[in-house]
Amino acid sequence: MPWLDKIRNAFRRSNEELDEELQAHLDMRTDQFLAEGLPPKEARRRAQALFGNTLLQRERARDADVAGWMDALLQDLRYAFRMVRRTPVLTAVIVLSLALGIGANTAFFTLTNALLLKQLPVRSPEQLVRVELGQPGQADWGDAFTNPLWEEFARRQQVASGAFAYSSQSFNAGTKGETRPVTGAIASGHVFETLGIEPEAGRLFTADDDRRGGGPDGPVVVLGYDYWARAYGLDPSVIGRSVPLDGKPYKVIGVTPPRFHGILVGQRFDVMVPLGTETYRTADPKFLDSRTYWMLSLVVRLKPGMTPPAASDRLSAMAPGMMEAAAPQNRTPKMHAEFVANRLRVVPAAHGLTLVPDSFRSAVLLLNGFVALVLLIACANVANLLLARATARAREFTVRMALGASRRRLLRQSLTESLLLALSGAALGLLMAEPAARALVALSGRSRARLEFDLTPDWRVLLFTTGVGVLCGLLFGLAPAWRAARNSLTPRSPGVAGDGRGRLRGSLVALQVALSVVVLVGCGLFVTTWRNLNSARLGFDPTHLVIARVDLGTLEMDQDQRAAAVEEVRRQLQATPGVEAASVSILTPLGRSTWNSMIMAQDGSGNRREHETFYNAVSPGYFQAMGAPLLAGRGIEPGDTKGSTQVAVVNESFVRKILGGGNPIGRTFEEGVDLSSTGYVLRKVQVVGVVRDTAYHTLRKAPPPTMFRALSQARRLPYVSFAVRGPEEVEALQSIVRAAFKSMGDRFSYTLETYPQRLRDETVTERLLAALSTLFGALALGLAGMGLYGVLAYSVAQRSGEIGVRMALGASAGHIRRWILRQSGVTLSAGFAAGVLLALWMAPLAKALLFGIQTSDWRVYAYSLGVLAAIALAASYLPARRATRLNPVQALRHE
Amino acid sequence: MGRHDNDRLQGTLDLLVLKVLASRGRLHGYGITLLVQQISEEELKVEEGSLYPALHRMAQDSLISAEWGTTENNRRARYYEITAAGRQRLQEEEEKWARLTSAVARFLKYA
Repeated sequence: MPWLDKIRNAFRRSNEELDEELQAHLDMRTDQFLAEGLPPKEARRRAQALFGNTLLQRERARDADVAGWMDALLQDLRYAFRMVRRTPVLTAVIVLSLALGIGANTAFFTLTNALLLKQLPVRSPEQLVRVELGQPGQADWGDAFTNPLWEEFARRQQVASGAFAYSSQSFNAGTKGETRPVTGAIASGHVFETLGIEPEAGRLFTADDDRRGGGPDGPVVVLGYDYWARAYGLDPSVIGRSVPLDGKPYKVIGVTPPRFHGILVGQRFDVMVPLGTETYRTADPKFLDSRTYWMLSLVVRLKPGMTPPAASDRLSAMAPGMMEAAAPQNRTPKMHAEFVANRLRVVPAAHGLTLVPDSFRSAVLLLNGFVALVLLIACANVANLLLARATARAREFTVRMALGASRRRLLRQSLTESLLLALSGAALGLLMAEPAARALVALSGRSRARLEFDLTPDWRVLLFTTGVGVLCGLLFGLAPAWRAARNSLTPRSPGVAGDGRGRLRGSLVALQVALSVVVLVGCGLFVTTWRNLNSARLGFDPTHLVIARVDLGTLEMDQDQRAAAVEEVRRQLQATPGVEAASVSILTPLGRSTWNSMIMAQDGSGNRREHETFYNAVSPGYFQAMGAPLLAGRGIEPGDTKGSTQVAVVNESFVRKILGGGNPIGRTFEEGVDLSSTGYVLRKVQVVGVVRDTAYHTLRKAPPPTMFRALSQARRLPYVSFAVRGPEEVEALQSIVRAAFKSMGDRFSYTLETYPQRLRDETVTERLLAALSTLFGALALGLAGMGLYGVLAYSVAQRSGEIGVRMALGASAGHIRRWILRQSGVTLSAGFAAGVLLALWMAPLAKALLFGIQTSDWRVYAYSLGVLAAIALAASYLPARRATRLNPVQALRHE
Repeated sequence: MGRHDNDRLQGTLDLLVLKVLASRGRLHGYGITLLVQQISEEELKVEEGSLYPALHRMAQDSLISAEWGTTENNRRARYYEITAAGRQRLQEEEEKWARLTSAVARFLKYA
């Protein structure tokens, strides 16, 4: 293969073979002349004369041997390496700043890749779709289904070669006392068959195991590989053993392969159980029959040749029958008609189903944009540094041009150097990216819901990093390369202004300032959002408070027994030394769950209207335990029992929005209750007290109208939370609560939570955004400051002659200082103006992530101007001082 | 930069080298020089050195192959041999040359 030879030949620095061949020719010719009797010296001279120009022929022969471009490339590279060695500090600064920039970009890309681009590691993921349900013409379709809907779907559908229902829940893998939560997946029997997953060990469950209460092997469980490693050290003997889940024994039958983490992006399941065993795990007998329990996602592998639109059509055609068969009972005719009008459609699910909150996804995408901006600023800085060096190297380039180097060759040489720098930075950045991405994910997880991603770099990440590296090299390399190639042969006299270099570098700095404004404005918006959330009014006292969540669904008790049991525990907690108040309620603020109720109420002017209101059921002492002051009337009291008058305490916004203001004590409204025995009925409820508005499930929304019903009169009791208040700090209080549960014989499995932790979880995305945007803001500022300093220092050095003349002619130090400041002021204001426009244009992208601040808040812009002006002043200080200390005589003599 | 495309002489030189190698078999560069000069009775005189770029180019084009060998005087030299592709090329070049010379001859005769 001649071309391969040519490339290989290019790597040989000196072509010894060629030299030897030519020498052999000369020697043989000389021998001949010697034989003819010439003296040796003359013989050699004549042989050489006949041969002609050895060097020229040697070069020509070598040209024939090697690939020209390769030869030139190697020359360029060798030359570039020499330049790198000659300026180690500059090189290190450039490579490191690029490595930081590219590394940060790669880290975010790795995350984006895991979040949005990676396909599920299953057989032909592109055939997978998920099913959505909604009204034609409406924007938001849901992807949650009830089990009756799923059963109807599975029986009727004809579009799939395989289909399964999937859900996720936290199980308690502990036996007694404090819970040991594991991430549980609940899936119908065809899940592994449909996905094409083979067991790593043992067997995986099938449709046979997916029966109510368990199949032939009883209730079975499949372990995820990571959990198998973490909890059992890959011990194969665990297969066949029984493990407790929510207190019920399950038989381990197998382990899934290491690459398979379930179908939810952002979560890895620890254990997976068949859907049918839910009736066994939870004592709630209606669990799988409930027509209002929306807990399942449906995933379908389409038959070969079936397109998603065709499948959507077929499914929508069968939807009315399916909806009719599984519609919630006891609904008003209007609600029923609405339900039956639901249609189905399918959406590609090759990337899995996302569990990651939208806010986190937008945050990652937004920060992606941030790091791209920072990289741009870094590129502008590197371009500036290289431009400065190009000036220092002007003489070298002039010499090379004089020796016959073409402009194209100089351009290429210059670009080769930039690309070498950029790709070194990219390689270093790639090394930093994975740990950085892991740290990011660790930072963004909530204490009870860690985010889990597959972050191993794949070809996309490699391609991205290389692409970014090349792009950077071109970006910051073009200006110096263009300069180098445009170098004229006539030497320039130093110290004279107006060669245009200053202007190019000035615009680069203005660009840096503009991009910094965008980063700073973002930083201001996110830090304010975070601060606003942290100081958001809770309406209750989150200190000295411990919450113990208890799942009652796994207990074999009816509701009255549950109510009696929790009241008993509450009384004992209340009696524990170190406890001021103990209460029990279905929900606690910021617990992430919501309960709603339909009510009929008369507003101030006597109009009866239907409202949806938020719901909680609480025991006596709840408001004291939470530190939420009662404003009027009384709280829930021991006298409010199941049989007595139905009572509610309502919050301020309930009074304002539903009752139309006034004194609400003693007024009544009707609550819609869906009881299995009687169907949907309206029950009269009396308002006995008003409590201050408190946060309900999130800090981001103003407290909604909420009613607090007596726990003894609650609709259902699937789970409760004990709230314990005491004079101790939360750590000590937690120990007290643990000890109290222990002394009661650990009757319930409980999970302890505190408000510092809940508030941290609540603001995790905002904290991430605030912290990272501050970091990037600082980085951008530092880079822009360095850029400005470089330009000013250069311009002072370049104009030393001019400054000398001015000073000799009587300019004061003040004049010179003002001149320098004006220069930096011009750059700053040009950059700032452009930056504000850019920021105003881009800020709406962040709107959904903000809280309590407008994207166009002038204070944020004013503060970024202030910060930038301070940086500009600092950057101008040294050059200005140097300029005013110039010795006019020296400066002029220099010229 | 790429190869140096000389004038017509280059083509002629290629032709001569290929012809010599075709008729005499394996030769080193000096041997080729001697033979070319001998056969053309010193009529075609070029710088001896200009033979080598031509040899290397033809070797890269696989018209001739090269390997190191030893001369009768026990000196190391690079020997060239014509390849099948080289013979093909030689035939084409010879025909082209014949056409060209006869055309020029006719022109000189009748013009």
